[in-house]
Amino acid sequence: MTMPIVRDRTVPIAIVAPAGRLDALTAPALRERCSNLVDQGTIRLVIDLEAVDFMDSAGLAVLVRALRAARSSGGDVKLSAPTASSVARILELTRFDRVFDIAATADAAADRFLSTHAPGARR
Amino acid sequence: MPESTGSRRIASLRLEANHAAMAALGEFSRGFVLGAGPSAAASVADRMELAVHELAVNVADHAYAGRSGPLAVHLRWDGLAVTAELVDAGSAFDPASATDPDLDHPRVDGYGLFLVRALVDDLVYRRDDNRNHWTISINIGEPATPAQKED
Repeated sequence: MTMPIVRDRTVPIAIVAPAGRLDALTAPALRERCSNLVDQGTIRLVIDLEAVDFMDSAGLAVLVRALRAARSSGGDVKLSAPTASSVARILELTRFDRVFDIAATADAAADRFLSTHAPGARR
Repeated sequence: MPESTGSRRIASLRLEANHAAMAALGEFSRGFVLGAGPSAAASVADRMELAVHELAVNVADHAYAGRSGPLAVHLRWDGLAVTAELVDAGSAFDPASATDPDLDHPRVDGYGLFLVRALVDDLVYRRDDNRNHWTISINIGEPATPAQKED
């Protein structure tokens, strides 16, 4: 599971990019990663799903926990690139596609934070 | 290995119900559906893989309460539907514990059985001989035969 972080923006934003299966076995690592980021003050997270080819209800739980933690600190979580059909389907069935702001790419999701939190920032 | 007889196809897998075994179970169920025939589209394989997975995780987490235990998964394709039966020897399922989530208010848990119901065309649970039996099926159907098309 690769999780690069980008901080070279006006507003600190972490892009977390799990890969492969996001399920009951792998979800705890992502949960801890997101929790640590919020605890350390990075309250704007992009969870990039482009490389995720399978997600289950444990994966959904991580998304909800991250959203709650970020919002309780004044931040937010955005999703990007749920390209695998199975991942898009689980987001639709649970209406998570309405709960989360979902962008086509991780960069586009991060840009939405900039437009929201730093209106004067150059796009 | 799957066995085929005409348009019938069956396969079984026995495993320890724990989270580490789920990737292999996913390959098994997905591969079975994709091998069932040209009408078994990838979307059906996706649905069956996730439905079997969610039931198996429930077995590991609830029926066996995280202590692991034997799980048998039987898959069947009869030309019209793909059916999966999961059998475990864990504690009985309590239907009262499985209320559907309020989709307007996302929560951390409670999506497992909701997803299974949404993904499959039929879901049956029974407790028999101190075992849990979960049976799910997805209808596929075969394209009309040339003789039928002439009508």
